[in-house]
Formats: sequence, C-alpha cells, structure tokens
Amino acid sequence: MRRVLSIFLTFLSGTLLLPADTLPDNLSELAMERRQTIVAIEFVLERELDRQEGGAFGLVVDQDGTVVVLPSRIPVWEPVEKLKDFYGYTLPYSGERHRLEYLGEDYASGWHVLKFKNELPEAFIPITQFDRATVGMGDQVFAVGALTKDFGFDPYVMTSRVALAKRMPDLQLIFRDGIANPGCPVFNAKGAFVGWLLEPLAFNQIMKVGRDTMNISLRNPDESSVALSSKEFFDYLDHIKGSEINGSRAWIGVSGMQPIDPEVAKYLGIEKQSGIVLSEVLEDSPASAVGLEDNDIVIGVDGKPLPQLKPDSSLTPFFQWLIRRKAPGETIALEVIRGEERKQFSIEIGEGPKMVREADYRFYEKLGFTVREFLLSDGIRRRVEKDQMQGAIVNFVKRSSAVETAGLRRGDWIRQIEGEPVGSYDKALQMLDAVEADEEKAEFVLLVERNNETSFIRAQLK
Amino acid sequence: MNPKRAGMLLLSVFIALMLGGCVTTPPVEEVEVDGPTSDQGLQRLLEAVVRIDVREVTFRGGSKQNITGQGSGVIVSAEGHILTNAHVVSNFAEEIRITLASLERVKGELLGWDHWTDLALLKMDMEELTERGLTFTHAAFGDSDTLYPGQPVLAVGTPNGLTRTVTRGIISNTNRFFEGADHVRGYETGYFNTWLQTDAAINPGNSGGPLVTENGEIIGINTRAYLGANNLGFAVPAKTAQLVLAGLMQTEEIVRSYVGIVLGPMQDLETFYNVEANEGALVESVDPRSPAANAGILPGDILISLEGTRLDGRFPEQLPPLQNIIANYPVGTELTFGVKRQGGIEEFKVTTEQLESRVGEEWAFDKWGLSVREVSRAYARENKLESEDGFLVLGVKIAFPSDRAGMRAGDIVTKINRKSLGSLEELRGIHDEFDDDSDPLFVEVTRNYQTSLFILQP
Repeated sequence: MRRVLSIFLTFLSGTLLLPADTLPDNLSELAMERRQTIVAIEFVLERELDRQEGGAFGLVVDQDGTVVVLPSRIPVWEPVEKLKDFYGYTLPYSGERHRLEYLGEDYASGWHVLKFKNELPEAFIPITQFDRATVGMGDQVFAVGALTKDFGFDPYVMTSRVALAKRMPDLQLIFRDGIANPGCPVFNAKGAFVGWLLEPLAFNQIMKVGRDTMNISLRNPDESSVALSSKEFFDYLDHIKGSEINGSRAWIGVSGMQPIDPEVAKYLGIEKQSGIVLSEVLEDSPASAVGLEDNDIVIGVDGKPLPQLKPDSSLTPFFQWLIRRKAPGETIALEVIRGEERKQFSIEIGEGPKMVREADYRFYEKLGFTVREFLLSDGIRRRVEKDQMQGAIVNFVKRSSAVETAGLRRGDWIRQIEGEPVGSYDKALQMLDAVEADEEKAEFVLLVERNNETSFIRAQLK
Repeated sequence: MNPKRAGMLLLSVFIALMLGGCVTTPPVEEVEVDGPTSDQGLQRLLEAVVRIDVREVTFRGGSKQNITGQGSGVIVSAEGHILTNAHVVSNFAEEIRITLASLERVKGELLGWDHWTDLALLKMDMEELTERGLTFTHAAFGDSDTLYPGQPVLAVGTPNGLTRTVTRGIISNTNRFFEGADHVRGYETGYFNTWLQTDAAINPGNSGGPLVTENGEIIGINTRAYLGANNLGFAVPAKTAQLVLAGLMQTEEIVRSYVGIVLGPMQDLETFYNVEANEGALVESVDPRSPAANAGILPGDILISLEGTRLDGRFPEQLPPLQNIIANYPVGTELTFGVKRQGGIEEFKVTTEQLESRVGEEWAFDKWGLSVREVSRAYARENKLESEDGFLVLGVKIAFPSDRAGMRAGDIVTKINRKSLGSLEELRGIHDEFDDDSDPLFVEVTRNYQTSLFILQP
C-alpha cells in the first residue's frame, strides 16, 4: 500500500513540476498586488417586515470604479429599490467601508453592475491594469480569494492547473479543486488575468451510512473550480459597456426553448448541428408577426447553423445570448424546421416585457399583504389568454395575519376584491387602498385563483 | 388543488381512502331485504361478513406490476353479491379471493365500481359454491337516515388481517363533511355525500366492512379513519351504499351529470352578498372549459335556484347533496340556474355532460419500458392542455428505450412520428410493431408546457 502511494506521489509531483510555467518565487507579492482588483461587497435586502443581509465578491473593471458581480449573488426577483446599503471593503478589511451604487443587472449576461459612489478608492486597482492571457489544459494558474468578514476578509492565494478548457459555448476553465471565491480573478504563472471564477460546480459523492448508501451532491459555495476565460470575460464586458443597464431588452416573444439532442438532430437530417424547439410563440410578439409557429425548430441563426454543444442544455442560453446581444429594432434571421419543411424568417427584435423586479408593488400594512402587477410571465405560467393577463398577484403575506389565516398565499392571483372583478392592476390598487383606509371594515373578501381553481378568502379584520 | 382541501388532507392520514356517494341511476329494484331481526340479526350479519384478498396491477415505474391488498366486505344478496370499497377492489383487480364466515375461500369477480363513492360490487363464484356445497347468509340494510349521535354501533371486518373482528362504539356524528376529495389510486372520490362518524375502532383492513346497528342491520360501509387518532372512523351511509348497489347491479358504472361548478358555503357571507339566510349556494370555482364555464357562470355567482327549486348551501354539510342533485339529472339535460350576480338575478342555461374521472386508462409498454395513462377530458381541462389527445407518462424503466431517450414521469406524449395519437389502441399498435430492426421513433412530448423531442431507439 505504502509503495503504491509513493509511486502515485512521485507521479503527482512529476506533474506538478512541469517545466513550462512554474510559479514564480514572488507569488505572494503578485497575489497581494492583484487582491486589489477584488471588492468584498455587503448589502441589505429590505422586505416588508424584515431585512436580510447579502454578500458577494466583485471585480473592479475600470478606473471609473465599475464593479461586476455574478448573476446569482444578488436577488433578481425582488424590486431594485428593496436592495439597499451596498458597501465595498478591501481585502483585508481596513476598517473603512466604501459606498457602492447598484446600477442593475445586464440583461444579456445576467451580471450585476455596481459602481463606487465616489471615484475609485486608491486601495483598488481595475483588472484592466494587468496583462491578460489565455491558458489551456495543464497550464499553471493561481487565484486570489478571501475569508469571510468574521476573519477580516483576509486574502489568500491558491494554485492549480487547468484540468480542462471547454467551450460551453463560452470558453470555460475547469480546475481540479476550488481555488477561490466565485467572482474572484484567476491569473497565470506570470500574473496575467486568465479567468473570472463562476458559480461552483457540484460534485456527486456516494456516502455510506451504516448499511445505507446515499448519492449526494456537494457544492462549496465559497470556492469555485470553474472560470470564464478572460477573452469571453472582456467580450461580455464590452457588451455591457456598450449598452444601457436597465435599458430596453432584446426579445422576440417565444417561450419554452428546448434544445434537441444529437439523435433527434440526426432524425431531422441536420447531423453535426443542433436545434431549439420554440414551444410557444406568444401572441402579438415579433416572432408571431413574421409567422413563426409553436413547435418550430430553429436550426440556424443569422446564416450560421446552431452548433452541437455539450451538455445539450447549454444551447438554450447560447441561443438566448444570440438574441439578447442585439438591440431592439435590429433583425435576426432564423432558419426553422416545421414538420418536413425548412423556412427562413427575419424577425425585427422587439422590446422585452417587464420583469418581476421591475413590476409595481404595493404593501398593505394593515391588511398584511403585498400585491404586484400581473406580468406577461405570470400569464404564460398560468396559461392565460392575452386579454385576461391583468390584475394583481399576491407577492407577500404576513405571517398569522387575518388574510393568511383565511388562506391567502404568495403567488395567488386576485380575481375579485369585495365581490368586484379586479380588471386592471390600477383598479385593484384603488379597491385595496379603499379597504386599507376603511377603519370600520370588519370582514374582507377576496376571490383568488391558484392552480386554475378559484377560492374565496374570507378574512376577519376585527 | 384548492388550498383548503390540501390542508385537510395534510391533517388526515386516512386508513383507506374516502368515499363520496350519490347515485343517479333510478333505484331499479330494491335489493332483497328480509325484515329486521333481533338477536339472530347480528348473528346473521356476522355470517355475511367476508374477508377479501386482492391481487391487482399497477402501472407505476414503467411497467405492469402486481400488488396485493386485503379488506372486508359484506354479502348483500342471496345471489352472492358483496359490497365493499372501491379502494379495496378496483378495476385494476386481477384476482379476488373471498373468505366466508365458514373460513372457506371462493373466487370473486368485480361487477362494477364507483370510485366517486368508494364502493365496489363483487359477486362470488356461485358455481364453485354449489359444487363445493358451501352456504352463506346475506345481511340486511337498516335506515341510515334515522341514526342519532350516541347510538351504539358495531364495526365488523378484517383490521390488519385479523379476520372476523367486531369492534363496538357509537355514532359520533351523523353528517360529517369533508371538504374536497381524496383519491382512490388517483381517482376522485368524496364529492357527493357526507359521512357517518363512529368511535368504533376502525383500522386498515376494516375497509369495505359494514357498520351495523346492535341487531345487525347495515347502516354504513366503513371506509376510512384517521391513522394515529383515537377512534375517528368514517363510513359511507347505507342510503348512499344502497343506491350505488342498485346501480351497479344494472351497469358497471354509475352515470352522473356534470356541469363543472365547485360550491362553497354561503355561511357568513349572506350580508356581504345581500341574500337572505338559508338562500343560495356560492360558486367557489368553475372548472375551465366546463359546461358551466361555457355558459358564463363565474366564481362569486350565487346559485339561487335550479330548475325553479330554490337552493340552500349555507353550511358545508349541505353542499354534497346539492352536487348530488345536479349529478342525478340525466346526462345532456339543459338545466336552468337562477343566478344572483351583483344585485340582479339572471338565468343561465347549462347542458350537463357525463361526469368523467381525470384518470384515464393505464397501460405499460414493455419494450419501451414505459407506462402511461390516457389524458382524459377532465385532466386536459384542469391542466389547460391544448388537446385531449395524449398520454401522461406514469413511469419509465431505468435503461429501457424511453429512459435512454430522456423521457420522464409527468411528460405528456403528444405525437409519435409527427402524428397525434387518438387512442391507446393506436399506441399499442405502434408498440407491437416495434422490434430490434425497427426504425427509431420520433416522439414529441410536452413537459411543463414545453415541447421536448426524443428518439426511441430499438
């Protein structure tokens, strides 16, 4: 056993001592300099009755103090005005906090964009100040990360080699282990920026407890082993800089985009390429205007066939990116298979509908719930005809309130208030305002729809 | 689906499933009932109670599998008819064994079932009985309408496999209402009747056995209980059971009318809606694309009258009988509802459809490792599916073609080789021809309202 282990270790040390790009002696110096590109961010999500703290690591991307943060690190289902008190900290924590402004989420990439309230503090350096490079399989890299706030955001450095560089379709670098926090930069042996750490991958493990065997999936939220390559990072960044955050969003009006697998592609006679099924073409959308139909299969975009990607599921975000990087008013050409036919469509990109975080909300403190306006996405989920897509959705219900006791739940669609059909969202607000203001009100009746079934909510207010 | 209903089910883990109860078929001929007896009554009843062992099939998990179960029943005619629960013997039953009071076993067959009331009618193999010289007695029904809380009752059956167990208690409530429905293997039950509640101990295996008076008259069929609770048992009233029995003696299923209205109690809303107390029934929900929806009836409407007769749905206990009134009209009847909506009273004409289960026929396709259930009209409407043509995947067998293609339980198969599938028969035809040399099949599936495409490789 010992012998096997030593052979293995010899082998391992052999691989670690590849001559090409050994790590420099001054690694700590390189790392400490580069830690200044990282901002430890804290913010608060203020909800109806409580507050929640959030945190992330962001990367400084320019001299103006712009900072980018990974998509999942800041909630996108809450209205932007509920996100408050963004502060940035240095690694390690210097005792000073720097106010950040949340600019919004870039629609195409999903990245959050923030900016230092005043100019870029001296303690930070944009990533653009460093060289950038491309790495491939086997190359030596190091990354800088930081401990939690309790440990003073102390920076650390970890090294690894690129196990795999894979196009998905963005070029992603995969390392053997997590090397730093998601949102932190990765550098090559010379200190050039090579990648931005994305959300950690999950690893499947088999756990045996007594006689039971369990398949578990493990994910360390603080250390990621997968990074977006620097080339793609800057491509996305260029797109973000060239577009207006919170501006209009490119949209063609289809929902349920499902990739096909290679076997289906072969059956459809499009070997070596792929396709996306458009499950539903929405009424009055750019796609329906040119005649796209439900279940059309897109096989080419702007003259180029859709590539076969692995996993198959990465095709959908790729296709969405092809649309989203365009601006409303531009056109997109789609080649489509419908039944046995092939068809070409040229669609004028439209403006996307409101997203949940942009919806209008109102909290009724006395009644104990929040409503928000009905959105197109609600209509699609509920299989509602376009002319019925209106009214108010319950977005929050106060615990143990009269309405909760009566059965009101988050997500309910309010159809009637006090026996009156709701109609528009504004009308719902008017009616609810009146109920909220009525001090004498003892009983409050709502009709709500949930799972295609309606039921009455009879709340005793007194 | 309704929030309150879900809550109800969480609270209660039923021994068996619940039942509903109403019937439409006009009582054709009274089941033979001998006059009530006294001491001998109970003895006779005990001799009429049977144990039922069932082997039935299930189509979960991508294949046809056998499961076995066991329950109770009561012989109700000299011809060997046995009344039991639909959740004891369903139309999935393949082999039924009846154990008589003499401990002799005979074969039984299912004549019909009515999952809406959780009742099933069996018949013993009379030839076998004659050949073997076996005899039996049959029990008599009592009047479940004249029961009173506190009245002593007995439950007879096979709890946990303990054959011929008699437990004793009282009627705890004569008119118990459960909101919404539970399921008999996915089949709806419990819309049409209220229940007898008893504290006579009822445990798993009692299902289908009789609840009787002290002199042995059947006043209910024990159907469910709260597990873990102390003696909260529920029985289908004999009145309901007798009507279903009479119906199933004639045909395999009970035909009911359906309009698609879910009622809610008016209680406490009279002032709100400006109606008199004890007037009107509240429309809580209208099923999408149902006759009532098509006629324009809306949630929040108050049904004041049906065919000129005033309706009273003030309390929850009054709602099942109202649903029953609608169900009892012949299918296709045009019903006139007087509806109160925002002050005025309007008339709505609704033509009834036949009540159908949301559960369609099930089948397993061995070569594909796929089990499916036909999409029914009710299922399609409830889920706002565009078409009623399709098959809900109940399960896929690991490493079989449907699994390898990527299909999953919950998918709805809509097309094969670009053609819609009308019937299970068509699907069987395609399966029969599928072999090692077949061309791959191009399968179109709806999953969460999104279209996925798969190839079934031989």
